[in-house]
Amino acid sequence: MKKRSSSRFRAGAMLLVFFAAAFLLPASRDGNAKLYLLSAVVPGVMLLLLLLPSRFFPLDRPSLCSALSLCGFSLLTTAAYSPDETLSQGFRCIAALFFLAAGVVLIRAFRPSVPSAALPAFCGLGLLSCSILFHDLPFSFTEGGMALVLFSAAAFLSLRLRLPALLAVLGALLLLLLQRDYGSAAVWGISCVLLFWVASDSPLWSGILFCSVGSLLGIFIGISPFSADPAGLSPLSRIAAMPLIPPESLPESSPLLPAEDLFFMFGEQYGLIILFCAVLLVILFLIRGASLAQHARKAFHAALALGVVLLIGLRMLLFLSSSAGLSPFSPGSFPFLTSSLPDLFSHFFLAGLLSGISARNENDLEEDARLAMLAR
Amino acid sequence: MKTMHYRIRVVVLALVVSLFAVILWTIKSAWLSSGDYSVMPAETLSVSPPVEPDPWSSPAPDPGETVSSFPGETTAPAMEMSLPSPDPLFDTTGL
Repeated sequence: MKKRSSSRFRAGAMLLVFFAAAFLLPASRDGNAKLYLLSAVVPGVMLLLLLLPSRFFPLDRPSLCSALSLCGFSLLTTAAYSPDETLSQGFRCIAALFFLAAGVVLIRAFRPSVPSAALPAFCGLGLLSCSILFHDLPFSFTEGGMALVLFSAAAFLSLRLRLPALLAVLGALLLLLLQRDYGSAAVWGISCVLLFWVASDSPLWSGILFCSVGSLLGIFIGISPFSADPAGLSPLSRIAAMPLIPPESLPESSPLLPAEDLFFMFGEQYGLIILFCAVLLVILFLIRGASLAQHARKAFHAALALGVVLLIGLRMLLFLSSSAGLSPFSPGSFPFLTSSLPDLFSHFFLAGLLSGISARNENDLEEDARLAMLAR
Repeated sequence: MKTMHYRIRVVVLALVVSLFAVILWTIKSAWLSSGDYSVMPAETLSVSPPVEPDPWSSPAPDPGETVSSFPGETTAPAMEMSLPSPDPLFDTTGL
């Protein structure tokens, strides 16, 4: 146990030293006082966030570390172009941590029943229909809506109510297709088909969902096919132009940060090797989520953890495959490495759900140990 | 629950394998489109044999110019071969 905690301490210390050095590198290159300040503030805040919230909430350290590291990467990207923008990105990340806590509290308080499972479905469908009803909204609540409907579908599946789960999933898919967000619709459809295959005992329901998702996607994409933007630089050519290691001078780029551009800007600044490390961090997050789903005692927790893993993993898969030119759809931003506030909120909410499930698993293990001692 | 855990394992394994496959595909496509093959080992490069100029495909001569009847034949006078003068230091004729 002592050896395990010392290795954790070492990994945390290495992470903080890495971020301090990563901010010092551009600071010494440009001689910018704000970057020197950030090299002390960012690791300090990360240390506080790793130590303090776990006193009040049962947080899952590996998934929290992955999420915070990816946030640190987004801060590094903005710091090199505009140190002032880093401050607002830092506030976005800290605000998103409240949604992580909300996810933990929701898992602790939630008991699956028909009304409690139906409420998140209505909220999620309402968020998804916001983008259709109000065209001039500055934000897109797509990912938040998807997270809530996923929560509801996992609760219905654990109650063996497959028809309401199917209706909620298909309603969300229809709204995504009406928004013409085909990337998110594809991610959502594939995630739900796999979730139904895993969580429902009979293959009939997963077959029905598979046929419905396939026909809806086929009809909508056939009506209005995807057209690539010929004016923009293709993502593959941007990846091809990335150096392997951090370059001496910054590449010229726009100071405006579109949400999906943060991933490419990060690669252009710090090279392919560190970009690959960021992708590996998300894969570690997914493996951690899968392990939590494996060890969950209740079907609701297992289905929800798997749903979170599928939603984030398929989003990353489609993002990378659209960058490689394998898929015509882009599902928006890369997980956690984004400047979009609603996307960050939903990603941290999903990480919070995993943290809550981890805490429930630990409680179950402690209960098992207590019962085993009583039996002796 | 046991079947569910088995299926979770299968789904996550497939997801992680496809993620790594897409990452490798992206790296390969990006590397090919960048056109920089300098990191490739020399033995894996396909070496094409040197192409000799085809004498029959020489450009058409200007009108009035005399050309030889055979390809590759030159009309310039032959160069005389001259041996270099012997170095006096290594001259062994007097021995």
